[in-house]
Amino acid sequence: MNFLSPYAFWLAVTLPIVLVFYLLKRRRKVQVVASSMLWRKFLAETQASAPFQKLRHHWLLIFQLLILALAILAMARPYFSGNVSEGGLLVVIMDTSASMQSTDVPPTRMDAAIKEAGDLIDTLSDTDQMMILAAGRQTRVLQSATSEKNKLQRALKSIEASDTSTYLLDAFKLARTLAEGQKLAEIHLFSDGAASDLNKFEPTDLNISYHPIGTRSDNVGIVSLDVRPNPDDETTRAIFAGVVNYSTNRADLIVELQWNDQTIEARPLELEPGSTDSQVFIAPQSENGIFSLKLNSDDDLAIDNQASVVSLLPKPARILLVTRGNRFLEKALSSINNIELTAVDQLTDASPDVDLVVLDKITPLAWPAVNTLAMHVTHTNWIESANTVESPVIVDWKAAHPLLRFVQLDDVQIAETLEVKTPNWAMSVVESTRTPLILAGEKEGQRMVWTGFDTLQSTWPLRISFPIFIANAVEWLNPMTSQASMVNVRTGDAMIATLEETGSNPVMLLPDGQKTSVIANPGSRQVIFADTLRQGIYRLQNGSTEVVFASNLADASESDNGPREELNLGGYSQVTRTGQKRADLEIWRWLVLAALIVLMLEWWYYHKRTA
Amino acid sequence: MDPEGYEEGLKALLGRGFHVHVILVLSREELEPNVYGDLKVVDSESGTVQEVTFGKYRLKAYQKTVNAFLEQFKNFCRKRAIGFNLAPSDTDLDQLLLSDLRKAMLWK
Repeated sequence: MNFLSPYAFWLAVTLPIVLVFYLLKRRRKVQVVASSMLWRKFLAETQASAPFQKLRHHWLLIFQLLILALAILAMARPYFSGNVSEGGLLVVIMDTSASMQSTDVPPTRMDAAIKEAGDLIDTLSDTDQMMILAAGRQTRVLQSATSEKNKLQRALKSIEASDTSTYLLDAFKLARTLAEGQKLAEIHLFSDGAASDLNKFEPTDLNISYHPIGTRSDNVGIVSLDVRPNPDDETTRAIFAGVVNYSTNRADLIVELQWNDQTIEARPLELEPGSTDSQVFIAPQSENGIFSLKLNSDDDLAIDNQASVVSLLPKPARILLVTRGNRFLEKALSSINNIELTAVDQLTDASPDVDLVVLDKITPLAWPAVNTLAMHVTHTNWIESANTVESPVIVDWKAAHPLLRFVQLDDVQIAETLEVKTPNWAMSVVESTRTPLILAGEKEGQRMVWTGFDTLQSTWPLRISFPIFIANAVEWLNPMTSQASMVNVRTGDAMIATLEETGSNPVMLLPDGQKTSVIANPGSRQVIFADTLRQGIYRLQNGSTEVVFASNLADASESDNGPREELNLGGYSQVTRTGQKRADLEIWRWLVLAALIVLMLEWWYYHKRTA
Repeated sequence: MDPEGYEEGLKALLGRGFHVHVILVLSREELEPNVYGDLKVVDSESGTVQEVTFGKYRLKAYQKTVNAFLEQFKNFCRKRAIGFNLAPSDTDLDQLLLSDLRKAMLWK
């Protein structure tokens, strides 16, 4: 026999209390009478009709102890394993995104969702099972399927709203997998519905209940923040910010720009309901640092009233060109702004003091350990080729890839190319019918762009797309560019850094001031830090060096925090508000508790009356 | 009162040719007890102790016992032409001597 609520055995402490009352009761009061004859007669008559006379004095005690013990046993909910009709499975999805921090339902929507889900737990019957999923950046199973309400309530109370966007799709996919094969399965979503990814989810025949949380939309938020070099003045930076008013009232507020926590500009902003405003700030920058934008808005959601961006000073990209002579390539490289170009005819040093290396048909004696643009070159560790393909025809290219921005390849003809298979580290960005022509990827922190053909054996250098491609490749391969894009991340996304020093133990200083150690893979200089659920500044400290990251929510769908009465799932399905389902609510615990109280009161009253 | 009962004593008196009249004096507490709870009843004559658990809910049963005892006593006396008077201990003595016993023809 097992017990669903073994904690009820703590009530066994009341058994000695009954005994104490009983012992107190047995103190007899002396009464002197003229003759005890009548009392003896009385006792003789009543005893004559009472069975178990020996137990007479203790019967009350035994009876009451028995009631008490049975009541405690009942409250412990004993059960035997056996075969009963199958209960249902309820999969509860708790939205833990940033918008759940809204305070329109005090104290927060998250607390209101937890309370409402707690009420749902109370409606579970003994054969029902429930599991709880927290839908944050990753979906976590907080409690696997169980009918133990204590465990479920504990799991529920451990939930906190994060600073991330809503990612309900993964949670729904997981819930669907769990619900499959169950005869009676329900999915309960507790959310404000601020989710943009649900149109990719086809609910099929799932039984989904939506419990919307929240009452109103009263929020002004920063939905984008970016910093770029000012094209008019290289010593200054341009900070672009998008601010949206999602409330139904006009917003009058102050936008404040800070540089390393010092306010450098504040300007008033008036926003009509539903309107968006793009603000551009021009600020001088003499060193690497952080621009922060703050809104002094007293709205329901505080997290999007602030955003930060790490701004790194642009440095000239140092390029080492290894070639026996390629005028087109040299011209394309030298036309790029802010570079330092050096040309050599052989590479002997594996770690040249440059930002990137361009290999033009020369296999180096030592393969470079920096980012590389390799043209018509093979290497055992990176790419191998045994055959060539004559006159490959370009059939497809990935126009969305940064390398191919503004690049058109329709009019390019190629005489010959190396035949390769796309290696694990790379993706094919330009393809012919038989073989990839251009590959791009990253291995152990080192980026590489590979072209399989000799550009001089093609018409490409004569096309405008060639210098554009070379400029794109230099920007993509420049460590400063990749670092600048990697130090500014969305909340919940991983922070990736390449350590300059190895051997020491890197430590991440979190936005709340706490420190946590970061484990770097042995033999690798790359560290990945994924615990970025909070918005703010993260500092990776490693020996004497420090890499600063900014993590921002900056998500319009989170800032638009008005509760949705219905959710659109997939292309055609809708889920609307669900009330509490009808259920048989157990009240036996309260009855047993009342019985215990009555029992104690009876003892107390009896003791008082006979004292 | 003799714990063995009143019968043998009264019969002995009648056998010797006495004219007997019983005046049974009982305290009010014996007729209608008003002390409840777990009692240790001490007989003031014999000193014997009787443990009793008594409550209001047993009052009727007790009074039934007392009434049955008195009825039995009266019957015993009636059969033997013994006069019988119940005198609760708070009875007015003048009332008992000048009225009740005179009515019972104990004296004129």
